[in-house]
Amino acid sequence: MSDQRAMIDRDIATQFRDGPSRAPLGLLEATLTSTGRTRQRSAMAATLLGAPSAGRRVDVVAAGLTRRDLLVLGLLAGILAGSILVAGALQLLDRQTVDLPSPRATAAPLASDLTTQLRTPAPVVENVGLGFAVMRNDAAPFTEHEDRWNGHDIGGAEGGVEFDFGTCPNSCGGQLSVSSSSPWSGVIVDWMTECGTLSAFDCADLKARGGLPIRLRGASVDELAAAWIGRFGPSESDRQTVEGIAEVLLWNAHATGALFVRGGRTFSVMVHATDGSPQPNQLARLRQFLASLRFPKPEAAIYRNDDLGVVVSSADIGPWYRVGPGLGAGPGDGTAVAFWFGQCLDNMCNQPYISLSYADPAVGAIVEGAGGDYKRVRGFTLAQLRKSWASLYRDSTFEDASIDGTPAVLAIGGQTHMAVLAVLHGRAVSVSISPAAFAPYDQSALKGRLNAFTGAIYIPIEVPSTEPSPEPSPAGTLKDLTVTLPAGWVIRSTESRMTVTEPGPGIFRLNASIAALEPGGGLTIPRPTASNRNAGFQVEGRTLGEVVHSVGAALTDADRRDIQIAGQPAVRWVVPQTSYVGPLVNVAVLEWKHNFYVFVEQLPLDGDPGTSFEDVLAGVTLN
Amino acid sequence: MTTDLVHRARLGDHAAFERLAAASIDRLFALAARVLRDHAAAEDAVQEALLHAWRDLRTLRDASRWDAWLYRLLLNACRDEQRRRQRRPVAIMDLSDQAAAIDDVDAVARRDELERGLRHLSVEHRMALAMHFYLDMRPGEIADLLGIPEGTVVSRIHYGSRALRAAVEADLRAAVTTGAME
Repeated sequence: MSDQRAMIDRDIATQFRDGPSRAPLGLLEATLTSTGRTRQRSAMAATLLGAPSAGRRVDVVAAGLTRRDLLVLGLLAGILAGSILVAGALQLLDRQTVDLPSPRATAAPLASDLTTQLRTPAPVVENVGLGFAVMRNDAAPFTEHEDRWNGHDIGGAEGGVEFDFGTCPNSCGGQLSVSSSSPWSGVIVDWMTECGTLSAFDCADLKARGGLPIRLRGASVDELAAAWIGRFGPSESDRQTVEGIAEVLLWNAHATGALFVRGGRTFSVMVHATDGSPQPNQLARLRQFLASLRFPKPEAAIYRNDDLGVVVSSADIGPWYRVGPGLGAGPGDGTAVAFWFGQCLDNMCNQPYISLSYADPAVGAIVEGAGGDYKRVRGFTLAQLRKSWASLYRDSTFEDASIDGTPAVLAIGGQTHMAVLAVLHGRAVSVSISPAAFAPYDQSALKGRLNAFTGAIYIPIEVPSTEPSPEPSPAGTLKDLTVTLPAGWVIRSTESRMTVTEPGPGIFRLNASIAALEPGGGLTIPRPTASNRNAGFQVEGRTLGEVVHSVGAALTDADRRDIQIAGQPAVRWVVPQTSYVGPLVNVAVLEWKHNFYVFVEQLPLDGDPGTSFEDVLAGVTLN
Repeated sequence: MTTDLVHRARLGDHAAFERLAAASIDRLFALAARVLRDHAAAEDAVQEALLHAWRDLRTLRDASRWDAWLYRLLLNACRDEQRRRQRRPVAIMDLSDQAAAIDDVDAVARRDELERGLRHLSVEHRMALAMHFYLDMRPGEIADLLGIPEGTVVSRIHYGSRALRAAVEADLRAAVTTGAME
């Protein structure tokens, strides 16, 4: 029955964990359109009309009263006088014009402002919504213009931002432009203004838009560099890695720029020679700008795993936003999940899906299998993971990879198996891709998608070391009594009371309290019941006998036991639980040096109290 | 920075509000979907909550309480949406897609019962359960966000879980009884 209960409890948790983690496309825009058309109400009017408030009221009294508030106050007086004009007055107030910036579609910021602050010490120019921030300082005095590329308006959907240097006025047309896009759409590297061989339709489009962007497509730095040469011809190049991101700088007589891939997006940074700067200066400017780029780690996530310290960015992940059990559901303990493409379920769509699995290195991460019959890759190091993979799949090949700067390996087994393997926080991790059921196997396309997905995994979470803590055992003193408990417990003491908290997460921890009672003093112990949450009784007396009697008289249904605490005689009551919430389960009384010490244990919820109360009693020493 | 955005939004800066909304909308929708068990209703509730947030932002006296305030607005919106839905024909949730992801027929049956049990719980109970199981919040945190006593949260989680367990166990008992009769 307990197995069945545990199974049901897991299902309850699963019922809440499963489900959408992202709002549907268009909901934000629809909402902002509504809010853009809605006037804000004054605090007083809103409160009168039932809005919840939060924060200290003094703020409003001190600073929030406006003429409109005062008018409403006057109207309140009217109410007291029996006036029924309030509603009409409020309607009048609502007709007042409030200047609002016009609503516009805004991409969700990739990183929270908090994350930005943590990762990039001020000052930051802007997190422009493309996943990067630019430091503004004396060496890099940029001015940014969103949704522009070299003086051309490109619209928010294109993902671009233009930067002017120094005091260059806006009219100089921009001196450096950043473009960001998916590998399939391509990043902007040039702008076409002549129709050339374009079709009549495209030519009309070009003229209507004042030109058309020229894009480079590719899922990796190498692919982008090859596309660059195809567009601009042979170029000199240089490679560098900044914040774990590999960048390639390319330049020739026609163009100077940098290309890189971050998360599931590709980026181009192009320098424009509109101010006539010679090539070396342009290259120096490009390096200066790249050095000032920062990449805050996203907080918005479709998946967070505190064991591995990773999040999967909802902004970078593109259409993979549905998390669920993998085929065969994995071990069912959360160590294997699948990321389905769009609204796909299982392999019912003609799209590949990603599986993430992790486990103790000796057990191994799952790379294939279902229903408990799994193939696992074991190893404490990348070399061991490679060896383990190679033992599973013949003709395996490997490529260097990374997960947010942590070295990893892309393993390809034969023609149908592919995974990125890594060791994160002492666990073997596998991120594998499974081809679509009804599509031909395309290794290159799958690799691109797997790399893009892996690029959206970030490691922003500090994971506590799994090594045993060297911290000393905590001890607390209450008058002439000392309690010493194993490492991890928390003891808090005041002059007359001590609380001890068991280590571990969640609400099912012991939270016992010990009170020191002087002869003649009184202590109220709550004993909630199903019908009265405030029920309880008073412990009092001038002698141990009187104190014990006061407890025994109140706990007639309890199991009384004579025990010893630190070698001294004491009395303990094991109390039947009479409430589902906060039941009293244990009471003990000890006399030492003219004080009575009352030990009390109450559970947050009804259930098995375990042996933690005994641990507390065993930790007592008398001074 | 969030508090700065809230201050700006309180002064009518809609762009600041856009950033706040964009940062919150996924979280709100995920929670509303789990509480209302209906995506369309969840969309309505989220829109309603954010609309109220914009319109009544000046009642938020402490900008650092933005998240807590937003959760309360969402709870109110879910409650209103639930009332509205009770006046409309009940939406039938298609569980076949979930079934496809799970091999175990019993598990599908249990989840079906759970879904039915969930629909009998109040919005307040579902919200407490969703915040606990989905957002991994402790009762103290939930209490702080919703502005209710911690004991109330503990009670809601407890009674909600018990009700769900009871729904499934009753179904299992019925299944056993039926099996015995056959």
